[in-house]
Amino acid sequence: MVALNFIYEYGPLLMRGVVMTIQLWLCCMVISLCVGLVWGLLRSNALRMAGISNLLDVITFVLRGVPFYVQLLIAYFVLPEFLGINLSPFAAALFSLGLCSASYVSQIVRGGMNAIAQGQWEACFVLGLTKVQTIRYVMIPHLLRTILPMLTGELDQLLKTTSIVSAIGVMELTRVGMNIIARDMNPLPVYLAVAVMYLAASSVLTIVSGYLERRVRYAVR
Amino acid sequence: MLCAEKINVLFKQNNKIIQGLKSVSVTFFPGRITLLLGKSGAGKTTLLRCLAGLEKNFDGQITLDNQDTKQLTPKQRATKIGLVFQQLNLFPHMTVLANCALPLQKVLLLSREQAEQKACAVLAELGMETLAQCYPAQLSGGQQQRVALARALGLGPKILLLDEPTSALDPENSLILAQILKQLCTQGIAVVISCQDMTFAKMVLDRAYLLDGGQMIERTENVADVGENAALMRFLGT
Repeated sequence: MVALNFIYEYGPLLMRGVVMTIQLWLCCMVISLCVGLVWGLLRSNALRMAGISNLLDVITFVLRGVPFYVQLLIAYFVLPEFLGINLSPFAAALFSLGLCSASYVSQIVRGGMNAIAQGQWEACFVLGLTKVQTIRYVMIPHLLRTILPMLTGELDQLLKTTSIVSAIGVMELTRVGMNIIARDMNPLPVYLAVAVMYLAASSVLTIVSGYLERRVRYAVR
Repeated sequence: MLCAEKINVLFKQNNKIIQGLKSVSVTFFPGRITLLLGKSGAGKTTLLRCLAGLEKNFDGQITLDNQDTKQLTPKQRATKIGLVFQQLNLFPHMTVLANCALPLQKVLLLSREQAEQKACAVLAELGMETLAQCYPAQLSGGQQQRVALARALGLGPKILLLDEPTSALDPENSLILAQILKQLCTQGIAVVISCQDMTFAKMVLDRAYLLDGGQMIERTENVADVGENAALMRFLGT
């Protein structure tokens, strides 16, 4: 009865938070994977471009070295003033979380690319494939199979990091939970419910990543 | 006919300049097997890499039917000169069929069906058609060798370069490979083999270049005419 009351009272509010968390996570995931892939390829030994790759190395160093919370505060409070633009909490969260995660994805992609033997590039050259064809048809499929476990781990981490953007007022799951507690002073069931919801989302991701890993696994002796 | 004239290659190794090849001139003819013999570090692989276009920093000129190979487009080069690497370099995440069909699809611009049909035909010639859906790691060394050969042959090269093709093969597979290469010669392909395996060398010996320290020290146009005291015969241990 108590549980039903809890669901009736707080369920709709918490579900709104879940929806916002998933929206933010999916948008950040797109930015993270797209930017991180290009970024990582340009930082790999085989595709380094003087100047651009060095600049990306520095940006990665900064994004990985500064805590995400500080980056979020800079994106929300400092950047708009500096650039003279207005950023909504959601946009600031998207920008900072997407880029921060992209820097980690770029590091995974770079490591995966550098692990591909030079002989694979040479084989593609001898077979007459252009560099773009080599990357598109040989390297990226090979790379994705190698880095998939690390990539899904990073996306899982990204899901949980969305809770930090509650600090700038994005009404995601953690923020909704905090607001309910501020109103009703009943932290135990609310935080428990929030934790279970994160765990459920993370479990779905774990199942999907396991399925993907099994699908793309190629035979090894 | 593939000609290399006065090829010089310099390497930088541990801050030292090393001459990989010193004024090496070689010619390869259609329908003949040419062996590049010599000890490790003699320059055999470096010469093959120059011929395949993988080594770009060399002095001298390489021509294929009087055309400078540096002027060839990637497609022209791939369809004229094939290379089978010592490490084979098959794509581990692709099946045998996909390994062979990919260049046909992307370089010769065949449709997927046509590319797979042609790849199957080449694999069948090498007795590998039943393993088309396997991944390279599921095959033995000899089978992988034949897949690498099929991948190179699919593009229909006039010149086939093989770098130490028997380094991972047992005597039985070496014999099979020797028979396949002799068969390819009858189709007018110029086969060039870098080799240290003397048993295999004797199986396919037709003409040979003996290299040492990056220099060509002996050229043998016809093995039957070589005297017992020739450096080649001493190297082969006969």
